[in-house]
Amino acid sequence: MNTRYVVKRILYSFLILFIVITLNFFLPRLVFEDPAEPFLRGIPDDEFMLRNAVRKEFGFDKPVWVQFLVYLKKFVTFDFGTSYIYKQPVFKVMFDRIPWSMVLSVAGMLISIVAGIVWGATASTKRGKAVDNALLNYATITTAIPSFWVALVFVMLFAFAVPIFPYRGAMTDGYSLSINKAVFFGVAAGAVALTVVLYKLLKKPLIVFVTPLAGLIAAVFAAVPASDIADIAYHAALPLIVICLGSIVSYALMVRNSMIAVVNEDYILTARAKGLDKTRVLYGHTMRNALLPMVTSIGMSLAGIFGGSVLLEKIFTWPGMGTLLLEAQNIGDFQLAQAIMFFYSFITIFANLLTDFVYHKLDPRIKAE
Amino acid sequence: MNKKVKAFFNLIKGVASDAAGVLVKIWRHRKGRIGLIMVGLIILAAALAPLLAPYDPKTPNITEGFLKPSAAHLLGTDANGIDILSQLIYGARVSLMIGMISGVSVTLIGAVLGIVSGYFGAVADNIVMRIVDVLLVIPTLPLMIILNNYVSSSYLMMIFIFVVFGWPGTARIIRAQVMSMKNINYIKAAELAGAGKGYIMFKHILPAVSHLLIMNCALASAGLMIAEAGMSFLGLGDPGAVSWGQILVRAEKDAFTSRHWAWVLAPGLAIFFTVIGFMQLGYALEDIFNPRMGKSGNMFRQFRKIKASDVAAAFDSMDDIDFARAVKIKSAYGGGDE
Repeated sequence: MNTRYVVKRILYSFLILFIVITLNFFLPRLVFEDPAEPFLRGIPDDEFMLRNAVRKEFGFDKPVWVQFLVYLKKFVTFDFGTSYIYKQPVFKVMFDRIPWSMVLSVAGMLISIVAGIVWGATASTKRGKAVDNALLNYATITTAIPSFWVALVFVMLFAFAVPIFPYRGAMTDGYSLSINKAVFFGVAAGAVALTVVLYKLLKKPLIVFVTPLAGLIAAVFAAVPASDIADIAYHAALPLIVICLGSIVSYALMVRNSMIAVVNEDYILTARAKGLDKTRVLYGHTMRNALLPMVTSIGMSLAGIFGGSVLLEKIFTWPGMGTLLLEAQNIGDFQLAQAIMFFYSFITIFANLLTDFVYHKLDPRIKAE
Repeated sequence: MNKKVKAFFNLIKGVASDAAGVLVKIWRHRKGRIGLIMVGLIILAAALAPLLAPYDPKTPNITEGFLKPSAAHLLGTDANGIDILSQLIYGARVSLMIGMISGVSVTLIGAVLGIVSGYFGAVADNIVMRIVDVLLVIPTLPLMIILNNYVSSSYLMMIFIFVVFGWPGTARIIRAQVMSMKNINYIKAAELAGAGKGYIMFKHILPAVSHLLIMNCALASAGLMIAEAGMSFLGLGDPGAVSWGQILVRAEKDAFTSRHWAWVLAPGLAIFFTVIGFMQLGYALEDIFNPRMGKSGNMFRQFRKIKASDVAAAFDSMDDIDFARAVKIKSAYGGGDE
């Protein structure tokens, strides 16, 4: 992977980001007569003074190109103004919500990956048997069921019919979470440092994934009181079950298919011919390569980790990014909605970029031009 | 009889007998028969909704609100006293309409752009693929939520968004397939014999990818029906229409506290039934139309890199935040076009 390729890819990512941002600005202006309309909603037509004041406040009185420059400045400086709902800087509002989305998505992803690897590997070694058929049928069924309906059914079953779990919110009394920020960032920084040191010493790519994750979890446990963690876990149980039920299958299928593809490679035959036992070949040779596509998949779901799922968060009134977007929409907080949109695109584009680089690093067969 | 009229009748006869032949093939296919019956039932329900539905799905009847399932109301009534079974039957219309219109459009646009960019390569490919790159990173759901600020939500808007952001998936699938077969001998032979590019694309390449297109159409329709339910559930559908997603919105509000389980279960099961039907039909059609699956054509199987499950994965769970779509399309094809 040469520097030219890296620079080219990074520049290209920024170009895409710029196009997305530009589209975001011009689309409403091209399609609709008055882009200020959402801001003026609820103000009577004859209140000219007020309408003009609002136009001025949001810069709609200036020529379009000035508006565009002002708009671009927001992205360059990461200053999206003040949220209309929360009366706080938009970025602060967003960064208060991201950890809540992450609680669900990181935990859900970890459980699904582990379960998916186990299920997929078992299915690949027992093709056509019950485990394999169960996986394929389960895959068809989960594809055909809307996940938000599964969430509704679980709420119905375990929050109403048999009321074991709560289904609203993330904590019993509001979101009065006391995080010791110094401890959190201390442990997290320690984990990053540890990752670098370990990678330099051992040169195992797995370290890059496992250590920061372990560090993040350690940081959460160190910075949040145990009683709060228990409370959150209790509230997160139902949404987590729904997330895992849906995402286990994609990981399992991926592992199964790539293991089946790898099993017929010559080097596996060589390994067996050398006299290595089946288990060793399965975990040491087959799975090593079969897990490579997982890297892509995990990298690509980074955006989902920070962004959460709008539908699930709505159903469980989980205070994450998805709910924030809906709030911004319902109340007409345009600044906030715009920032969230930018955030989603930004994460998606750079998660793609990162995944590409990591993949090239891990798989020597791929030669970047 | 006029010659032209005769030719026209022959064409119609030919198309009809082809269609009948395909139907027979579907019926003989195990998955095809299941899919045909399921989709047939749903289409019938949607078409005959006014006859089948016992009540009007829009007229409120306040005195009969929150009724539990009974002989008069098989699935009970909602807060306004509207029969849920009737809403369910009419809901099939919305689901089928949105799913099929956007599924067909996505497939057509994706097919044209995929074949053109795969076959011509160079500049055409570059332009199409760069547009794909941009479209795949725009999060659809947030965009719709934001656009909702400007126009009142409608099904036209929803279909528009589905089509604009749906075709890149199809285009990528078709492009990959076209690129892998561009250098096969019979295509080269046709080129050497002097066939034009348009002729090759329509006479040789299109038939070779038609099985993928048909399957793609069925699976995209299925996936977009799920997406429609999710969007309607978020209030992004037509507020005046009766759709399965909207039945679930009201169910979420009232069914839990009134312990009216059928209200929650029925719309989801209806979606499940329809989507499974379309998927089975899609897999069956893929088998039937795949030219390489024939007894003599096994030498081509090595080119059959793209499997039904990949296409399914590409359209899987679009109701999630929709990064999932980009993720799955990318992972299904091993990292896209680099």
